[in-house]
Amino acid sequence: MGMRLGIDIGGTFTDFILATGTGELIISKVLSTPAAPEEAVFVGVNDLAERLGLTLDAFVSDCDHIIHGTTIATNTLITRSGPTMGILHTEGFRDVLYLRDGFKPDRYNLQLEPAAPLIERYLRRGVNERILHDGTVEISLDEGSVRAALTHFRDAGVTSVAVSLLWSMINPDHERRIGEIIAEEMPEAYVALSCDILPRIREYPRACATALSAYVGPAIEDYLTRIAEFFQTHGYRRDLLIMQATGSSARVPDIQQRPVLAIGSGPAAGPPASLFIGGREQEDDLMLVEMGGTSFEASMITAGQLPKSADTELHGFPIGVAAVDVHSIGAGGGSIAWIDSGGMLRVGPQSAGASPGPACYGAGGIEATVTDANLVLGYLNEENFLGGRMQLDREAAEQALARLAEPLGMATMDVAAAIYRIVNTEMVGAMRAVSVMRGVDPRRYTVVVGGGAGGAHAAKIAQELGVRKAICPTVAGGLCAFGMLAADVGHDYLTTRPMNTGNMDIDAVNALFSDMETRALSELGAQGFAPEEIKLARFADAKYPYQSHEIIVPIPDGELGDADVQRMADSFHDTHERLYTYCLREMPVDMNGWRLTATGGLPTLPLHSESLGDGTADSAKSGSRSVYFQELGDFLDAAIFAGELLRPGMVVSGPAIVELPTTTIVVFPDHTLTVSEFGDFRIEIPQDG
Amino acid sequence: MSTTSDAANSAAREALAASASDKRSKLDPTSFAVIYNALNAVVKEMSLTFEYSAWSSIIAEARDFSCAVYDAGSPPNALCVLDGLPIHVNAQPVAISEIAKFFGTEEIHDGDVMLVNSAYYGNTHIGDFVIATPVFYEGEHLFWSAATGHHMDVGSAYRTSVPVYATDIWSEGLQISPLKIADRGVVRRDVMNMLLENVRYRDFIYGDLMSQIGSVKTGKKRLLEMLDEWDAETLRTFSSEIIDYADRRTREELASWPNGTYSSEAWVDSDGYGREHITVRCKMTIDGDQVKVDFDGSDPQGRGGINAGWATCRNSVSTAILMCIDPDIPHNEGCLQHIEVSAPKGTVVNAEWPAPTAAATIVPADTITDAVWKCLAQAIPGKAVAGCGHVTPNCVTTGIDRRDPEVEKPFGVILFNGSSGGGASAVCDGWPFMVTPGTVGGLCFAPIEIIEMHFPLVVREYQVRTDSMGAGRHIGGPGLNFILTPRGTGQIDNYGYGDGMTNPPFGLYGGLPGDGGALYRENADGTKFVVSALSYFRVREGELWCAVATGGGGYGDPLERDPLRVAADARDEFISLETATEIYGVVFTKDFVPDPEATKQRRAILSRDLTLASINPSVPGAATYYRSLVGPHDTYELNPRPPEDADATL
Repeated sequence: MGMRLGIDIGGTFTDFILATGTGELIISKVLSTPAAPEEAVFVGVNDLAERLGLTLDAFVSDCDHIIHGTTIATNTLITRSGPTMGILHTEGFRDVLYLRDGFKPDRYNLQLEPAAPLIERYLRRGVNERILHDGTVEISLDEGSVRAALTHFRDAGVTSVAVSLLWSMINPDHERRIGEIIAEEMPEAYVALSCDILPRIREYPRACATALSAYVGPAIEDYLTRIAEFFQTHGYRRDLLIMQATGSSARVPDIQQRPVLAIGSGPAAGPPASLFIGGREQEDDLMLVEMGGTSFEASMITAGQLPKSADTELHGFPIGVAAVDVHSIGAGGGSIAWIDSGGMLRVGPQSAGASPGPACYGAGGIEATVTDANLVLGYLNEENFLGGRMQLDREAAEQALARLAEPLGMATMDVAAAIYRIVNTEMVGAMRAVSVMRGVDPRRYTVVVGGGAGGAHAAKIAQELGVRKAICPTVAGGLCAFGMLAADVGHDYLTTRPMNTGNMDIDAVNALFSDMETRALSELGAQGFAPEEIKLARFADAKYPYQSHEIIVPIPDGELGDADVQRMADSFHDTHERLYTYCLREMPVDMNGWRLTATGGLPTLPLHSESLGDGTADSAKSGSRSVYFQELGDFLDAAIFAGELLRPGMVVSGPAIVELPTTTIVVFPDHTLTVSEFGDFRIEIPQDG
Repeated sequence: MSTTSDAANSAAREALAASASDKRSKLDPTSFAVIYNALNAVVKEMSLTFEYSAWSSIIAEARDFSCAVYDAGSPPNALCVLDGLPIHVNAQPVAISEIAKFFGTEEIHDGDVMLVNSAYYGNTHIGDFVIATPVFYEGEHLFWSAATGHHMDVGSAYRTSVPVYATDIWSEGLQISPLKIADRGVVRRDVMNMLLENVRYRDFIYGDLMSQIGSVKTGKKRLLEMLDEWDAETLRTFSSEIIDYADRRTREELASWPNGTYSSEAWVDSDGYGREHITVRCKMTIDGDQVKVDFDGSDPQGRGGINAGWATCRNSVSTAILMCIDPDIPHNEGCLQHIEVSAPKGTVVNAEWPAPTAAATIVPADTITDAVWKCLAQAIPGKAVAGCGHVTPNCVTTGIDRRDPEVEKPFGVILFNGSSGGGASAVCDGWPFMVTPGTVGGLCFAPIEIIEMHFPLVVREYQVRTDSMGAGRHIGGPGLNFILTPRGTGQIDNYGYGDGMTNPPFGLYGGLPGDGGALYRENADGTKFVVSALSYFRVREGELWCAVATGGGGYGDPLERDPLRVAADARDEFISLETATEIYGVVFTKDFVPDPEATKQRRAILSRDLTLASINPSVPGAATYYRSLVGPHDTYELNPRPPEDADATL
């Protein structure tokens, strides 16, 4: 088997993880080049080829699969650098994007600027037409009104057009016809139709996903074309795969059809990575705890299933797609500690970022961050940060902490301990948001640790959540790039057709699934998957009649019969009861959206395992230092281990520190770290009861 | 006439302040912050449980509910109200006090769930159900987990949970004094069934009640986990320290406000029975770190359900003040104790039993908040905001869904979509869809496609109305046109319950009032039947139901608005070209490019004749929009009331 390459572009570094044919993993990082992100990719790929002693062409043509997480879409959105864009709506509804769902955040703050819509009002136009909720045409499309709006767009310099009419997910005829008219009137324009992008009920998320697609689509198209060309020129024979917000990867043409899926591309690879690592460690219920420099990502994986949320918001805009549920908060190594006007110590969400960075980076930062606290507490080693490639400045960290200590009337060390604990509490809150708040008890889950700062915090967060087991893989520092290697290739399909279990037209359900499955087999077939290699899973958006919010529930495969209708209803009742404490078993259930997830698994990464040796880790011990432990309220002398020297079967008892080139693991008193046969660090966390 | 006042608490407050200052904080800053965040997470989870599992759109879409956690003190202190609607959470402690008082310690058991909706037992209005469960730990009652939600029906003679035409509490609907809906962990089947027998749409209400009970049970479960983690003593300490913390920050903030006495008037459109412009008179005294608000001289209570009970009065005052202090200060007794309210009994702001209070959370709550805001505008102009609309024009809409010829399904829905814009502030423009001062943007509207899927209604228009926002240096949030027609039902009955149609959102310091505010039926022949905010009217298929929401008030002189922003507003049709020139004095060369010289001249001419009002309008009945709709063939009716057999003729 050939090699597989994962590439994740981050804010500071572009990460590469190469899986060689023998299962060896090579991790490499090069500085990102935000102005032209592909540059860093070219540099990094060249570096890897050199490291392997291959020519660029020989290296690239040896890669079976190249999977890429791109920030282009996300950056286009954050920096608002997309094209001049117009949107067409049903006449009378031009303010869908402006009005959003009506909710104003930050309730008591009346001095908050109103939210800015993606498209200004003069470029949001109505066209005369109307389709009703059952798909009947009440007012046929007035093509003159479409052409008039397009003339207006052209005059205003619009180069990208979104179309989002009411009920187009039931009857797309008018949108499709408008697509044709745009092709005639503005042949150069980029076009996104809501019936293609998100055929789902609720006009705001649908319009938003469509507008986002029209906004990031042109940039994505350019970028992907360039990068796909690079690999093709150098001998790559397959399709370049792009990581999607849905947690699976897709071919470039598929992304070009639904560019919204490329927003949030990188972080979506975290859960697939956890799944893979959990899988080899025989754990099905996993909780991803990923702590980087500026953000913390949390996600739950239950029974080996990728977590999906239909209400995903990216940068304040709903995308309406069932994206991988990765909950992100502003808490990371760079999070700044500060004192509010009531005298309370707070941490984040402001981050020192990469520049100036934490005070201890010695790059001009004077504010105390979590990383500074970790250094002073002894968790980090100023001499061996990033594998010794970066020297940390302990004195600068202490000074920064002292600035907070004085007004708080606390000792510097206590401030450091408090920062550590407060940021943990916020992360615990984020973990609860994805677990307990959805009725999922985290205590039976196993934490998977990711991100450069993850190793110092995860076990403690796990402990507070009542978790007993944590796994920190050696690739924790580049978990997302690794996740891309492990993610499936896949597509999600959605058909909106309102029905009720009380009088379900089961033939129609069979027909719509058959239709989606035919498309799935053909599209994944194009990526080289034989039908038997393609996994199909069905879901329905279900709710009680008149309820507004749906729950996505799994439904049976194959030809459905009347008996399956009750099974579908029961699946909903059970889930509803588990999540919300009650259900109404006698009540028929509305099922409006029908989803199909089709995945083709890449060949499983070969597992590199070693038989377990005896338990002594003495050979990996590199020294000891004084480390603070909150549970003891004091410093202890903790043994330091070189992570790369720890072999399968070795056991490290806390208090101890395990130093790896991309992360540092704190083994707390009473915790025990064991190296598994796959080289993963398994941490056991004692819990009362 | 006697007066209700919370000034009697002064001594207690002083004692508290004294004890706060000499006791050193017992919790380390870390534990304090950890517990604070953990409580936020508890309340957030309660809210999500309620929102995601509720049935009626007023809860699931419009989010007309609030969850919170209180300690078991007397009165209960708010530990965490997170982002609850001001109009709810500032009243919840009063309702919980009444529950605690009613049952007494002997009758409050672990696993009980209590319900109350009577305004004379500390609630706001009959449509809001307060549900609370005590949290016991090691045999001791420590907390309350509570949720308030607005329900679709309360068993009134009228087909609405906001029956403003009811003239006493008995005709309003089911008055629920403190009641156990669950007893020691078991939902009482007898009580639940009795409740459902007395309301319309029993499936809806059952779903919403179970969802609300689920919310407080979820809160309780998480609080117990916190108690396991922190023990009772620590949380008790926290509960007193979070109050000190809020107290400290509020004290500091209020001390920076100028001492003085300010007065204002604000008006309720009508009482539902033809009496118009009911006046709330407000006198505010800022004295050090205390704000005293007195409503002496306010008009007598009205005949319809436009009266405030004491809880509504207090929380409408605090709502206005909390909007003007740092939003990050936790809203609990430590903060609220700095606000003293007094109001004569028998007035519209403090009605006497058995006066009806069906619409209290809007009418007169919004008018009370306006009156307080107008005083604050004089005291702290930089922090005050211009007026927000008062829900106008909203209805409870009911009918029979006949889209499926085989099943006739009665339905009722409160659509907030056509709700008013918010006021501008000294630093920015107003938001659209702020709805009312009591919710300030905390509601969502029902998506058009959800409305059309669930109900036999087709929406014709839902968008911004040009020139609806109050002009100013900062403009008010725009008003919206929300127009629909019944289809597949025959006809719909509409029970208007809003306010602020004849009294527009006020502008500040040269800013103009918001424009709009009308509710009408457009007949098949194009003529209009225009009604006042409190009203009843029927719309048949082929006719249009039209709601025109007001824009919010503007702030500052429109002639000072950045010409580029005026140009963008005109280009976006937020304002007309005529308004750009006549009100803002901006002259364009072409295509919305301001001509600086011509603009300067134009502004000089306009400013000559201008007297800037600090608060505009200063008299009742200033709105013009609804009157402008009434042409020679149209009709306007004040307070049309439903016939008693409205249901039967649907």
